[in-house]
Amino acid sequence: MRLFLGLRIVSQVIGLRRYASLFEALSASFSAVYLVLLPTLPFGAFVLQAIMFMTPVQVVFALVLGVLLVLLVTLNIYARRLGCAYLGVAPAGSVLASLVNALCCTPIIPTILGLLGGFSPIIYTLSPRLEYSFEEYYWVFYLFSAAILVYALFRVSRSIARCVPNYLAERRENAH
Amino acid sequence: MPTKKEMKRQARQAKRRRRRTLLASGVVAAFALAVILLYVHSGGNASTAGGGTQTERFTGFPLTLLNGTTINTTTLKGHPFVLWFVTTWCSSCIESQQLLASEYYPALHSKGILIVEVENYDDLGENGPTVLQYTQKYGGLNQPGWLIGTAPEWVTQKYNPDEYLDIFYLVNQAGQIVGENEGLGAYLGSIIQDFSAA
Repeated sequence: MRLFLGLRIVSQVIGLRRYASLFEALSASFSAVYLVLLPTLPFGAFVLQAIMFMTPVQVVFALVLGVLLVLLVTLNIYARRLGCAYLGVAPAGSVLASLVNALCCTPIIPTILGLLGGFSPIIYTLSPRLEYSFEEYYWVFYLFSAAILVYALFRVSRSIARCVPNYLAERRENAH
Repeated sequence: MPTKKEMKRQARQAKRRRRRTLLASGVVAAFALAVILLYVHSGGNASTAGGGTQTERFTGFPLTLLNGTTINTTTLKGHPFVLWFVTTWCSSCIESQQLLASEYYPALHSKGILIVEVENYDDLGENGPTVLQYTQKYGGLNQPGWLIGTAPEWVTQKYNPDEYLDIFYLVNQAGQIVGENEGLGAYLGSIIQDFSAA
């Protein structure tokens, strides 16, 4: 039931012309940013040509994450304008989770473990194993990133429903 | 006038907001630290570590090529070359391999720059395709001036002691190491200039 309410709120907000334009413009650009970012992350640097070698998983998640993130931003703006509670932390968390692929191949992990290795040589040797797990299961982090966005969308729509009496009143009427 | 219950609720909400802000700041700070570490580590410039002033001598090692023959890399003296240590399961290596094969190899080859590609010993202890499967899939097989193979463990220990997945060195005609960095793909566009600058 709550899920339907959430979906209804999302569709009603997106149905408003101002928010629809914002959503369309931003979702195209955010998806494009993800399309560039996801394949280039393993280099730890901006390599535009990497787009040519992106995997189907990366294409799908670039589109999904771009659209969900913009949907959340749009709903947050709507909620803020109404004076309802909104979520500022979730998009940041999701973006960070989607960037985890950078940990597979860049010197981040060997450098951090190298610093910690001063305390224990065992930690120092963990580096390839950790990088391998980030390499092998990068899609799990993409999934996690998308899940954070879906959860945040649900929370924001609930907040809008609580904040705007019409939504709940209408819902109660329908229940009777 | 807010009731006691409302005040309590507001206090709880404020506490929750503070906790969230703290958590977000922590995550952002950790990420920023990682980026700074990465930047500091890479020296912030292209492939010539230490601004191209490093002139360690390349002492060579035996390299077993994909056709089974073993060569001594000291015989490459007289040619500039890129000495590249790869791990076959690493995505930056895969992308670099594809970039090199499709875009940069012809330019490097025409300038007489060789590519010496060595698998990190035993793929750094993790399961990956063999170098042959890797090159068959991503390019570089049977290309003149592109030597691909494996080397003994001490070679990885010597040239890649921190066990980076994707590390490379630039060795000039005189057999001096004039640059090194991680993630070859990010530097392919500047390697010819880096050799000239060095």
